[in-house]
Amino acid sequence: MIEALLDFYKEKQVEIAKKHQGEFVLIHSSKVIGFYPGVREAYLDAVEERNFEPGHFLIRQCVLPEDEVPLTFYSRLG
Amino acid sequence: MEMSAFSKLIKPKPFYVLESEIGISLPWNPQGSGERPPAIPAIGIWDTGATHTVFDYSLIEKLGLKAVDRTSVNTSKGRQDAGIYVANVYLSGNIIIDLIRIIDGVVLGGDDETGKVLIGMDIISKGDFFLSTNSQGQMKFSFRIPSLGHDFPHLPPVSPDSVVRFPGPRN
Repeated sequence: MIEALLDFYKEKQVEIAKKHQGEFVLIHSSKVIGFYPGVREAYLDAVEERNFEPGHFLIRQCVLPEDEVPLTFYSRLG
Repeated sequence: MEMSAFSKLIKPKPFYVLESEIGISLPWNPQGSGERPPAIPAIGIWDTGATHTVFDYSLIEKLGLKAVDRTSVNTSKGRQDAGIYVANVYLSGNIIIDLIRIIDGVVLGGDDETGKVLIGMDIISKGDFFLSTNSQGQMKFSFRIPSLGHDFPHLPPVSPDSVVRFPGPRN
């Protein structure tokens, strides 16, 4: 499920990121539902307002592909 | 926002690890009307070298968390894929970190079978984090939220002249 939503996001990533850099996008059923200032706002809209089932939506921060950086753990993560 | 805080003494076993008992749960909004989901106990390892908070895979499974995204992470073993989730973390002192992004992974360390959580800078940076040792060789760490600012008693203020000065000529 999440892979299909990620594929959809990647198709639209440049277009979305140019307009909404740094915001969080909520995607469900191959549709962009909205843009939010944080994960918290996106999650609450998905679950409390729209009754989306966890595992059936994507929340991702909008950045251009060249600006994506991996998260970093200097210790204790194997 | 009302201040919440806790302190804990740590003994070396044989080395110092900043551990505290915590609770974790499915995401829950304390300001909402939904029923609070049950929390399960876990061991939190406070890790300033972690940019984000990580739940061990076993805890992701035990809670039944569903991913909201995926990402790449750099670890000491190289780059790997990880799931991103939303969950709640409960600390001592009635501190609730609600609806925070969580990464999954293998959390190293500890000597019991309780699941481990790396408490990363995303949580630590929400408040003030103190660390000190006392004469009995125990380490005390404290955390309070929200932050009360940078000026702590008995510590010098931040100075522009904070460069390390070496005693002799450098090669």
